[in-house]
Amino acid sequence: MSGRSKLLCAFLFSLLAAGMFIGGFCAEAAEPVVKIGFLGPITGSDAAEGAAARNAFMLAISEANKSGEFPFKIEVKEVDDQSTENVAVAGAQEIVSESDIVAASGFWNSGPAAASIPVFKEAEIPLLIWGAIRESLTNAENVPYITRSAPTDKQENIPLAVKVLDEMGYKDWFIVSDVGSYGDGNFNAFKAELAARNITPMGEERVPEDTTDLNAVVQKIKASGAKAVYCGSTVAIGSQLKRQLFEGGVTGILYCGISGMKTEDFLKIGAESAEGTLVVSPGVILEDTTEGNNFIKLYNSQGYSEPIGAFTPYAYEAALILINSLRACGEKPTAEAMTKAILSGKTTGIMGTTTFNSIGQTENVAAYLNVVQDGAWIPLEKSEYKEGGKRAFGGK
Amino acid sequence: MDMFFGLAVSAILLGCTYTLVAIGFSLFFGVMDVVVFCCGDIAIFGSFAIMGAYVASQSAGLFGILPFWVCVILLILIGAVFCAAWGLITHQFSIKPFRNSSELMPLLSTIAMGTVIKEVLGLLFKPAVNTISTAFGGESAVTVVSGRNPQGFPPLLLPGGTTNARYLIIIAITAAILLLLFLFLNKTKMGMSMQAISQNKELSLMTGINVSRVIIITFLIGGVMLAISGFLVGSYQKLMSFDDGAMYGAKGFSAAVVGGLRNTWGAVVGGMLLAFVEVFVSGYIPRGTAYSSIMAFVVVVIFIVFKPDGIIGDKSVEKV
Amino acid sequence: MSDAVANVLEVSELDTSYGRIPMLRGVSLNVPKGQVCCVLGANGAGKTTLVKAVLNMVKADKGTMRLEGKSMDSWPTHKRVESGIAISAAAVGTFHKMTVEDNLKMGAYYIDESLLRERLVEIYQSFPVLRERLKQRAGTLSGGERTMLAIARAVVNKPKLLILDEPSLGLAPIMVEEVFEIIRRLRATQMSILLVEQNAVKALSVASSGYVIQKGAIVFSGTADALGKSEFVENPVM
Repeated sequence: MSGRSKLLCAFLFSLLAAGMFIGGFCAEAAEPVVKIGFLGPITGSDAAEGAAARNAFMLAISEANKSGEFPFKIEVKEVDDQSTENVAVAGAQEIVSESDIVAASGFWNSGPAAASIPVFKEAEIPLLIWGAIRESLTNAENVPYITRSAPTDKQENIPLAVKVLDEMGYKDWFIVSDVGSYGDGNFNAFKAELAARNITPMGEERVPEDTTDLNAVVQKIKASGAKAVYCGSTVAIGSQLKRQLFEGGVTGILYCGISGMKTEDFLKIGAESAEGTLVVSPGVILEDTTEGNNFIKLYNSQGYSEPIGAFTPYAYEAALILINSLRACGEKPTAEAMTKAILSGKTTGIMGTTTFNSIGQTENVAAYLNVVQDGAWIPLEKSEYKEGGKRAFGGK
Repeated sequence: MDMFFGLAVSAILLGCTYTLVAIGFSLFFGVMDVVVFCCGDIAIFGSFAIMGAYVASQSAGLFGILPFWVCVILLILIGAVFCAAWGLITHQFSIKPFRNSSELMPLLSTIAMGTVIKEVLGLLFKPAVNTISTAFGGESAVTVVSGRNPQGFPPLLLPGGTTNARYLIIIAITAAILLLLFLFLNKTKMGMSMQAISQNKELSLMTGINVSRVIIITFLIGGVMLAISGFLVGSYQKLMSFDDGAMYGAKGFSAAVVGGLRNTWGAVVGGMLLAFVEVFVSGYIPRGTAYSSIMAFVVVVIFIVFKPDGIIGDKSVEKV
Repeated sequence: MSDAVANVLEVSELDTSYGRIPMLRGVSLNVPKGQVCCVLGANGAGKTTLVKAVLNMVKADKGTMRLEGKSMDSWPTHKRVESGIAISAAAVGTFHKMTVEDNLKMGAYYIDESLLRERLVEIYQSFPVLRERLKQRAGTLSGGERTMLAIARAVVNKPKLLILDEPSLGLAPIMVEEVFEIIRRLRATQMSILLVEQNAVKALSVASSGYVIQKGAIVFSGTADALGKSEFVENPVM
């Protein structure tokens, strides 16, 4: 080796050493970090729900960071599942392979949730589901890694059934849902409620998820003489069916459904068409509580373009549960400690107190009914449709 | 009987929406021998363009200045310009470059073009004004969040009228478009040239028809037709999703195949047949809605097997 | 009159290829004004390629072409037709779904309505058989009628140059006779015709000059008489 190249080598090595030193120094100086994963349909057909949920989740985390309570910084690894199973699985793998990941929260769609659960179980990273409601997602095999703070489809259908079957006393039903997993769960759950009360529906119809023309179903409902229609689907089918019923002159009936319909998009069919739609919503009426009101104020002050949806408070609540669990894990939280902390924890957030049962399902089942009145969603108890109010549902 | 009548009306309306897309397919196939798979997406793009233009003209106060129907025609024209442009773009970028390659290439490239159109809609569609409140029809304010959410189509078709009157207009417009198309194809030089190219491209060249010009004009006219079809679909469906195009494309293509791809009038019959099968399967078979599309496609398969020339198939292909 | 204008069509040193396979090599040919010039050749000799090259439906790699002395190398197909070249190719067929009348109208693409009506009257006189079939779809015509239609469609324009690509193809002898009778009549109107044929005897009966094409190259040119006496015609194996 010539003298010159020796010199060059020495120079390079010293550069390398300096780099290592500087790098080490920086790492030493940097704040310790704890990472949490977030998954949801931030783009795709359910973007309105997913993006609002992401906003709320990030908001809760950034509040926690600001509070200075933790000796580390909580970072969120955000993944867009696009409501698609394979995208969700890839996203889940991305999250579990991050270093310092201690927990994740995810999913509005049940399909992507079901597909991704094995990834989290395999990696032994706890996943708290904030918005997917298929009943089977939480079970004895998935515990302790999989927990859910949102009610299941079954849990959601119960308060609706109590209201429309027991209190209002509707007996002549036509039930409609889509053929997807969301529709499936709701269809079976509501049918079970009917069966428990010895009611056989006068007609039932399952429609493909991309159906836009439901006039044939409308004609069928008309011909069946049903006095109440249950739609266990998301906003796409739910709103088209309601509009086409209205335009087909089928107005003297009760039209009710499930939380997937309760979005601002539903109202785009027009005030007249949407009027009188009764939908069950998970959670509590935020406006009625101090915590809820604070959340609405905080959310609306951020200037997000997505308004608060049915599951936005749930995403916020999920973040609060994770933050509360971090508190229980001390200065160096691990995935193992978080798994235990989430399952056995007790968190009081904006929607009451959440605890989990033995299969990781929340025991806090809050739900309330909403109705469309003059082109807006209003809680039933505050609307003119409440018992003894100025307006009444059809079919009575 | 009441139900039968109701179903028949639904079927005719649905058939109208399929028919215009199907004619798009058959026009393009006629002059290019290529199945342009993004027809449905172009139509949906048209309805979104009309929605966007509506919001813009609302905020510009156009509806206060001009009579209502003038505004509506203006909006449709704007949609037509956009669709014609997409038609041209489709031709220039996903058909013309593959003229000398395998027949599969334009098939793939027009499917890709459909995806581009769909994604452009989903990503970019955020009308200039977020809240639309209309002065007519009693529609409420709507908030547009993102192009991927379902969008409310503005009440441009007889906003004050009854549903039945609106349905009648949709059928009437479709019939009028078909009549105009018939006159155009049979009574004008350009229309005759399109037919000529469809029947015998080599002879058309020898006859002195400026084939590339006719092809471009066909794509423009097809684009305009698709825009009108988008307008009708929007007015009928009222709630549009950026990805509706794939479904309309599939249905329109099937209708065109059932009718015989080169046969414009077959597309009408095919569209109606498909709609009738779908609606009646859904209406008369218990829990049949889940299978209505399947049944419709079964009809397509039956036609492909037993009557590949289409429902008004033409056997007089000459043998030399 | 200069030599250039005495010829309706002048082709010189024309090369074409199909992909990388050469088709025509150095073809030169003149069609004198008001006369019938024939190109004889066997199947696959390059006759149809030559015809298509004249219309720019096959791109020329090399060579020049002139119509009445004007270079038309840069003209696209439709411009060449508009400028007065009409072609009747039996093998290409008709617009089979259109009526006979509409087929004729398509032939007159560059003529306005009133002139077209006059021309159609003339056409019906020369082709009485078509007159009977006016409203019939072209696809339903017999082979002979279709050939008539193809010729009629080409002459409705009164072209400066009429190219007839194998008009006797697939016809019964009696129909062949009739077709050549029509060619004789057209010759009498001083129409310049390029007749591309396999049937040498028939072609030479109407032509005043001619060429023989073999494997994409011109191997003989001369008057009809000279051609008739040449080895190419006397020897049936061409």
